[in-house]
Amino acid sequence: MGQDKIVGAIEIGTSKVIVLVAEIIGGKSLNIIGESHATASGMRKGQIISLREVSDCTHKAIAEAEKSSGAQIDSAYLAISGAHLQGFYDSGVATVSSASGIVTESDIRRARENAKMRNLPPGRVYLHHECCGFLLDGRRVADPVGMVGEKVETGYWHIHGDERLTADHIHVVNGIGLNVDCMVVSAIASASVAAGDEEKKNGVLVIDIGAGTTDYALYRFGTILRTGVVPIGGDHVTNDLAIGLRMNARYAESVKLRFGKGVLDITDKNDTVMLIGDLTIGDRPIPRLAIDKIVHARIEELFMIVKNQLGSDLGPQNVPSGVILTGGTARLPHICDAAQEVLGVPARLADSPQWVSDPQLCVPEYSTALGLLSEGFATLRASYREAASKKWYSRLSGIFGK
Amino acid sequence: MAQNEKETDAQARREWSDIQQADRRGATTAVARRRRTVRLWRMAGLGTLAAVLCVALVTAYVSASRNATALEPSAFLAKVTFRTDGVLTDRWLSKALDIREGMAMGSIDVASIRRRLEESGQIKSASVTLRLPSELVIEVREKIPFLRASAQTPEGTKLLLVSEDGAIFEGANYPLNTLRALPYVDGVSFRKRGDGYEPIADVAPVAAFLSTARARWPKIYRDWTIVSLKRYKGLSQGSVIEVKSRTLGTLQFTPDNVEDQLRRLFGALTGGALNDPRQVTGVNLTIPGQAIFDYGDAKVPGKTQSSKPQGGR
Amino acid sequence: MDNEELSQAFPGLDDKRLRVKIIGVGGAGGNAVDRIKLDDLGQVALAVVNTDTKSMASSPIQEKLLVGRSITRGLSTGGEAEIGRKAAEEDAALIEKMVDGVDLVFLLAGLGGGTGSGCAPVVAKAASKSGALVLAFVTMPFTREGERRRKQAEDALSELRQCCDAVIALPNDMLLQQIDEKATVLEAFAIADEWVSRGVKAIWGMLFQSGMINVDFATLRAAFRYRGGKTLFGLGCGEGEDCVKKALADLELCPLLHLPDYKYAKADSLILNICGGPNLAMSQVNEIMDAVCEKFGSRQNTVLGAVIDGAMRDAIRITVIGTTDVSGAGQGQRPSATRPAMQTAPNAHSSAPAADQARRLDERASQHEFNFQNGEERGFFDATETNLYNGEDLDVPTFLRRGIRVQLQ
Repeated sequence: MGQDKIVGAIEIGTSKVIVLVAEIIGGKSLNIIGESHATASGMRKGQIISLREVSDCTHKAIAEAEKSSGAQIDSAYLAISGAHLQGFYDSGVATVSSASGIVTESDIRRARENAKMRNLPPGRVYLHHECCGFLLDGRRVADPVGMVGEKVETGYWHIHGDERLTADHIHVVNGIGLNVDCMVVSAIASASVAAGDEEKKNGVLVIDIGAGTTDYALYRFGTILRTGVVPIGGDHVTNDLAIGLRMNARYAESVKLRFGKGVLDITDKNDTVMLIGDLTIGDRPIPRLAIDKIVHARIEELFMIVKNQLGSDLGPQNVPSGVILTGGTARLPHICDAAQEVLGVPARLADSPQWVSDPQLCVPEYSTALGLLSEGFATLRASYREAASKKWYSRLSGIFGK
Repeated sequence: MAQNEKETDAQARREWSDIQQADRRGATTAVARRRRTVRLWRMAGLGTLAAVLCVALVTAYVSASRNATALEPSAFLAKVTFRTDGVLTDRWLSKALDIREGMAMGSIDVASIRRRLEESGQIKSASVTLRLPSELVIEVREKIPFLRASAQTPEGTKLLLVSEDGAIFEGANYPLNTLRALPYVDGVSFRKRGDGYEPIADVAPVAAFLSTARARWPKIYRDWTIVSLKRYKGLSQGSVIEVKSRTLGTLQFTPDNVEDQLRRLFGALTGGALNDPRQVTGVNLTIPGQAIFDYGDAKVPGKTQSSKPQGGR
Repeated sequence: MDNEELSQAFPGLDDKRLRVKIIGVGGAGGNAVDRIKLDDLGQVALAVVNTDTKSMASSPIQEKLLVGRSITRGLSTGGEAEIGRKAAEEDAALIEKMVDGVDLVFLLAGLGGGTGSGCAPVVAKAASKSGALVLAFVTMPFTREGERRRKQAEDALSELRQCCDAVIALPNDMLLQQIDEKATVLEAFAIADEWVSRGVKAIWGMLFQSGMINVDFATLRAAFRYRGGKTLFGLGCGEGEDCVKKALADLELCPLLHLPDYKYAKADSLILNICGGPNLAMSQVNEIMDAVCEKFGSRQNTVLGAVIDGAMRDAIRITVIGTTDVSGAGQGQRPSATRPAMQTAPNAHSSAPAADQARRLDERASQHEFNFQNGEERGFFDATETNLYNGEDLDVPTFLRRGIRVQLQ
């Protein structure tokens, strides 16, 4: 099988469709060769409300990206988010079968299978299984193969979603004649690039606040402990402002971008700003405090929900590396202060990944798409490697078998 | 309830990859249609190109290997190369076939030329190839005659030749000496078949016998004038080849074990047992181990000589 | 609109004999009626329907109807809408008698509780069946009142939309924005009542108050011919020299009228009532008419009323009530047999093909966008599934649910 191909990472976000085109050379290296983004329509809170509109803008973005790269996409990676995503933890145990007590690959395989036994209710599909590491006789080990023990346990964070909504998502891409090779949950995609390896090992919470949804992933021991989606994003802030300040969504968006901040600022008490700012008819003064109150209420609530969902998993001792914020709404000034205030751990904004050179891509809005590309690439590479190691393993066991 | 559980079971552990993906699923948009069309055209273009290339290659190959009969009329025959393992000449060829230099290559029918050559009698097999752009190459293998015959035809006496496979044909271009050296055949009837004659059946042992005689005992063979196949019945019992020799009268051989018979004859002739070879009117060699000489009616009758082959090498 | 001609054509609709009844259902509804009782409306009968003897006893209204005596034994429903409904259905005969012969019913109720959510639809159905024009003013519960009450209120609201000619839903969350930061919940309820009574008075005023431009009942009835849709309702007040401008600015800021995008905020049928002091000038009326029509609908679809209130002096009050045609022309309307006045509807007069087509073109958009004027204020997220978390709809602005007061002035 040829390992040179052109892949497209497609993120159909609530406000934007982002398509990155990359070239995989020899199954090893990945080069971004094209990019495009289009304003998304027909999306709310990470879910498709109009298949036609979403298809329209997604197809446009794909065609645009192909044009910018000058290549035809062979296969697509797709990011998925939305309130329908749910996760649960399940673990599997296997007793070590060899007489010497040395853990073998087959013990691990049995434990893995046991961890993936659970059936889903009708209409739900698994989207991802994230291995959360191994316990050998209750001890956390990175790779138990070859070690001596009696019982090996592995845990998985399983993410599942609504089958129909997932199928809709896939079919949008199918509509242009592309097959989805790899599906990555947005939370994992953005977290994988936003946090560094050291941070993932220590424990870190990555929160990607987009326009329609907030996706988070909690890392510990270098693996994902859990993920989640809160169907709240920047659109909610805009909508709150539109209703609270009684203006249309367009002005509300501009007010949010110009004056919104994540904290209540007492110095704004008597300050007012102009709604439109160009002295046209209908322009009127708005108390800054009103804006602050509306935005802060929403942001505070958002972090509160994240905090409630994570429960005891979140705490300074569990996330020593703190909270990393990314996504378009992370551009809101002082949002880190709000996160810190609610979550009780230090928060900072994500750095852009080192391997991306294009400054245009080094903005929080692109973290999901970039993560999608690298995660999708890693998944496929892992499957190549697995295929290769299987050969290697069977050869080795053949030698020892004699 | 139970049914419900079953349903759950059937749906169990569905992964996203179980969702069917198909080209025509989802909404088709103008962009998707355009992309598809472009792909289709590109594919069609590539396909057409490949097809054209294929056709071109095949055509070139076919025309090269078959020396295409359907060539453009602008190519003309410039040279005819004729090769043979026998005696035929270019002149014979141009008389036998109506091919001229300067005729259109397209009008040359290779297969019919070959057929005509092989039907001409003297030619065992022929290969005819057109070598582009303007050459015709004809290679033939000729039959080798070992007997001759005079046939009475309405047009007069005609010389016919018998080849080793029994075919009877009118020889052409043989030097007179070669023809004279051939014994006449006798005791066979020539039956017409088409333009030629029916071949003589089972003549190969006779040919082998004569060629052995000619090669090993040329002095004996030199005097042979007629080979009669009157009593020849192939390799079966009682089959006799009668040869008229200028010096020894009628010699009788069986078609098998010819070498032994010839050696016996030679031994008898050179052993000094022969009184006067000129008196001999015949030698019967058909009885194994004996060479029975006839000395005509006036001379010593019944004198037989049992001659052991001597010094047979 | 030629009123005289109308009256001649349909003598039964003469203003003088018009019977109007304001019915309060449940505790909150009763309180609202009480408030209206305090202002003198004249020519209007007041009534309350309740299951709770105690709260009814404290009401000064004459006509009181206790329903479901055998079910609740004169006690409250305990917040169960189902009990409220059963109580009302049991005494359906009494309710029918109460609305019999009434031309215009104002139905006032606080949704979310047992009696309000359960009885109000029953009363509305009975009134509608008897041929009355039914306009409902209902309040939606505070988010902090909890998930169950919200659900009950929403169910009742959608039921009311089907059987009333207009339903004006006032979310308490939103009303809270109108009061002072330190106000108590009771004061918030009082505000809700105040809004309801202003709405009722605006319509009553058009029919009965002496004024420059009065509206007859047939016109009013025609204006409410679209059923099932959401009703736009807004108020604006202005005082002093620039009262017109101030009133319009106030109207624009009315939280109930707030739409994310004004562009689509058109009603298919609009009632505009202007209430001013004795020196209200025709030019002022025209100015307001122009501004309102531009914003909410075409002039042809607007029924204008302008009344003089001696107590108003140099103040102006604007009330806007609009309905929209949710399912294309025809559907959701009452059978025309019970609505002879429909032929004279302003829209019917102007049913020139072009206008009709324009309206239809606008229908989809207006229907879609008009959904914003829902009591739930989901705005932008209206087309999506509700975003429930611990019984709260997360798409509703946090500050509304939390009762955080946002001051705009």
